[in-house]
Amino acid sequence: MGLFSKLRNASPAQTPKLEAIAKAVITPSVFMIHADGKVQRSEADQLHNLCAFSPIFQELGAPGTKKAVDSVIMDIAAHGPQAVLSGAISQLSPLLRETALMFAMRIALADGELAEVERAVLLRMASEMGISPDNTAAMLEVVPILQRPASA
Amino acid sequence: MTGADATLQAPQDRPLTIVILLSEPLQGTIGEVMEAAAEDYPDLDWSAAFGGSPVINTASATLAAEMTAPLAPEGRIIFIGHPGPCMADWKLPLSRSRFAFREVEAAITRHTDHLTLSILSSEPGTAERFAAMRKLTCLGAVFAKLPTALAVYVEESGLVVQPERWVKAADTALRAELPVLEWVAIWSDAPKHGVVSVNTIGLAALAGAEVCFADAAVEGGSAAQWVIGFACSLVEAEQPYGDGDTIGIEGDGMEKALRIRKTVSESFGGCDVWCLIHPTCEIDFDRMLGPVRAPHAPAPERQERMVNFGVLRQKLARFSERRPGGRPRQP
Repeated sequence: MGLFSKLRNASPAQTPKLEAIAKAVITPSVFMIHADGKVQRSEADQLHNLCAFSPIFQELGAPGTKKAVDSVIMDIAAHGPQAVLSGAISQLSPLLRETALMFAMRIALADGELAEVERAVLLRMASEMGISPDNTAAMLEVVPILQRPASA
Repeated sequence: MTGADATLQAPQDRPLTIVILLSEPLQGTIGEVMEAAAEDYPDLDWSAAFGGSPVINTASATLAAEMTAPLAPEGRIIFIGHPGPCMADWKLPLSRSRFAFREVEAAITRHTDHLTLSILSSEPGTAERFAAMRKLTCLGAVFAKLPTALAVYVEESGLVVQPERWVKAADTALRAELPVLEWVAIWSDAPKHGVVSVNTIGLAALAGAEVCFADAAVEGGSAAQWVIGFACSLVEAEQPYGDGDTIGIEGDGMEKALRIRKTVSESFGGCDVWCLIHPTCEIDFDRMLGPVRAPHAPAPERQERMVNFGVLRQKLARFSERRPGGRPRQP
């Protein structure tokens, strides 16, 4: 349920600044990276790779992307992961919510496996983003295809 | 087509209506909405006399919840919140949105709730309809700015417009201009042997008549520009055209002028239609519509007046500048 007043305040100028959108898109990914309390190298590399090929981050460039990631990490430390995640979701259009969730899925699958706890976190995020279970399931089927190792 | 004596009548019994397609249920009060409209578009009067501040909630009811109130000076404003998707026939909107097909298709398939906004003008005249259109466009833009807005559906024309385009349309309406490409569908069949025809769909809601550029050997873009320019002059300037008048661009001479015929067409749902007849059009309008006038033929004396089409030329220039790659309009 969207509240008119909240939604209106969430997008005062209709086009939130690119930096804000970029931060919001990677917030679920950073959330995933921190979900198990430790940052794995493969996860950080995967996030940078994802950003490098995304039109959103191409405009920001590598320094802008790094700044956005650092800023999300600091926000999470200051305000807690759930508050930052909720704020990020309110910044995103429905289409970009899917993009953000797909980013997070690829982060979760960076090591080639999706742990039950990771799956649970992703499903909860999808629900909070208003993405239907059917769409979420379809996305979860596609991402492992992208992450297959050479031995597959 | 039947006789040409029908008087122009705006569809006064129908309110102008747009539908906001939403990605999730929306809740708010009418007071918040009107306050937002006054904040974003202070040049317009938003004093609607709703008793209290009723709630719009697209999720709570199984039936549409309708709220209506007088809106000075346009007439009445109507909000209807609907749970679930809008059950329109989407084949036409999809066919009319060929340049944004994917975005339109995505909006149609993804929307879960919708909100209908209508303004019923107090009078049927074109000026009153134009004023209602301006206000409705701006009110729609207030909702189009929400991140959960997927598109704006214009009932009369069947157009589905992306939110960001609708917000720009509101800026156009504020300048007392018709956002023609957002309100009116410009339809053209595939050219056959170099002959094209172009017509409007949805203009009757504003001007009381549609416009049709009858089959002629011209470029489609040129025909569309004539139709758009003529439509704008009807709505914005209330240009008093008469059956049999000719229109043209200054300096082009009568041989390049277009004849105008007014008729009623069953193909257009029985509404009035202005036909623009290019010199290369081979349709025998005399035979179809009766009396006298035909393309190329001298018009009756009382109708031998060439409308100095400065207004149209301005509209054509404006449209050219709006097209992708066109020059930005000078303030």
